[in-house]
Amino acid sequence: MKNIHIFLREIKESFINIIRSGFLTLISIFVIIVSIYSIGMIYYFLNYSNEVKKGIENKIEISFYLNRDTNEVRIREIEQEIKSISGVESVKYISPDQALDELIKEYPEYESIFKDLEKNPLPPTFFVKPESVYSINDITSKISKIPEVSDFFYSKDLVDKLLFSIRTFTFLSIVVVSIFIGIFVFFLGSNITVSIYNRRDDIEIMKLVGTQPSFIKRPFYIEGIILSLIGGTISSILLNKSYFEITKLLNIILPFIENQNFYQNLNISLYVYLNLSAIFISLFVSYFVLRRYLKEIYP
Amino acid sequence: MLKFVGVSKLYDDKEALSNISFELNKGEFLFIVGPSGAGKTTILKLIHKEIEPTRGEIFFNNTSLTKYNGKVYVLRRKISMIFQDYKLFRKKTVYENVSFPLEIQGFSPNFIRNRVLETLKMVGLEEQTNKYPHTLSGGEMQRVSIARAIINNPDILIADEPTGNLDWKTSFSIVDLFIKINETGTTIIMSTHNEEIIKKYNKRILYIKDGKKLYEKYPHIS
Repeated sequence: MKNIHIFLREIKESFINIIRSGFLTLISIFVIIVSIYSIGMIYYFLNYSNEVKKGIENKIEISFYLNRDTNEVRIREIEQEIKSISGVESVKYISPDQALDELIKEYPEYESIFKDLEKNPLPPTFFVKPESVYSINDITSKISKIPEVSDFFYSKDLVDKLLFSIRTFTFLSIVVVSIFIGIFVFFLGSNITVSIYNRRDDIEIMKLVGTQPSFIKRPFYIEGIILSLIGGTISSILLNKSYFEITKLLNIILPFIENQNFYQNLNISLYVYLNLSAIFISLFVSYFVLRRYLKEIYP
Repeated sequence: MLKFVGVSKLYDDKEALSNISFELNKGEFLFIVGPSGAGKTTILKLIHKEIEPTRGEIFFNNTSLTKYNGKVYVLRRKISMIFQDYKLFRKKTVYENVSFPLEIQGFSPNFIRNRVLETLKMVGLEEQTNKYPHTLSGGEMQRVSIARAIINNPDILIADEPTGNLDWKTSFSIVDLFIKINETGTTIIMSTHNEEIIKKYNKRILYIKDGKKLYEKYPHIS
């Protein structure tokens, strides 16, 4: 029971400190909001770029031709070889006859010309669908090693540009997220340091009247948790609203990117994770700042 | 209850206390007297375990404070200290200042309330519970400080020049309060350089100068 009373007293002390810190509290909450909001937005755009990537991946196919004299048995062997390459989602074989039929279906006005040909000029063709754009280069390099392959095609420029854009964006996102986490850590650490110095007389008195060190430290931790929760909740509300509006806007600007409603998947667990991360960071920062500065005041 | 055995304290090779020995029994009242810089505060800080002696040993309730490796904060609940500059929480009311030592120990709100009101009544501040320290006079602030120090029922109350910032009339009223607390069985050690106080109250005196014990005087028994 005594521990409960002490804990309640520590919570009360934390709230009193938050209110008394006034301007410092407001700055801390603002920094937490900006940091969490920015990280949430970066997360959104990373997801969006992933959706763009998926949309393009659905359209990317590697097609390759075999020499015309490749026999049926070898064709089946090649089909199995390709299926066994990691990163291959599906393989479709089109025989020269099927290819000619499709050509005629596509250009019926030239049917007589096609039928008058002595020999079908079209080669046996494979269409390979990769699981991801990242596996394209690996698949094409393996396909090129098959001796019967005469030629292959895929939108190399598009894939390379896409891969470059995704990698650049991911890298920049990590840099920006790190910067925001750094700002968050710096401001929170400064806030706690200033709080300790503002309260150093009180801490000195507490020490002299027989206060246990945990009673001095815990309100700082609780304060960090409360500020993170306030900042986190406001950021979550802002993020939810922003996700909705930005998705609506992107649907208008880039209507060809399918499945843009992924923001619906950005459910409550994202906000919980963001808040928990903020709390974790604040506890981590509090621990180190208290360890460093309280030693000077309360060794 | 308290015993100093050949205690010395050096600050950067400068001897603040030199070979001090004395013994104090439960319920005694001791004035530590001497000019500024004599070493009075050093003796009190050693008892309060804010500093450690360079030589010698201090015993409290037969336990060596020098070798004590328990929790200092627990010790400070048994040895309360009062300061010349009061050391009150500026942003807490009189009630909050006095209740603080009980709150950190997790006593129930009802117990705390009764005990604080009873203590504030004892020191004559029952009407000032919601005031902040800066609105009080020096004497009143010192009474708040005394109330906070005795709320735990300490074994020893040590007061470092508690009347140093007060006029003579208020000073006497503060010492009268110490006498009242002493009559309840609390051992009191008070440092002062005020000759008027020493003359007025017939209590044991430990006189020190330049860190050395010059003499000890026991009260007259009438």
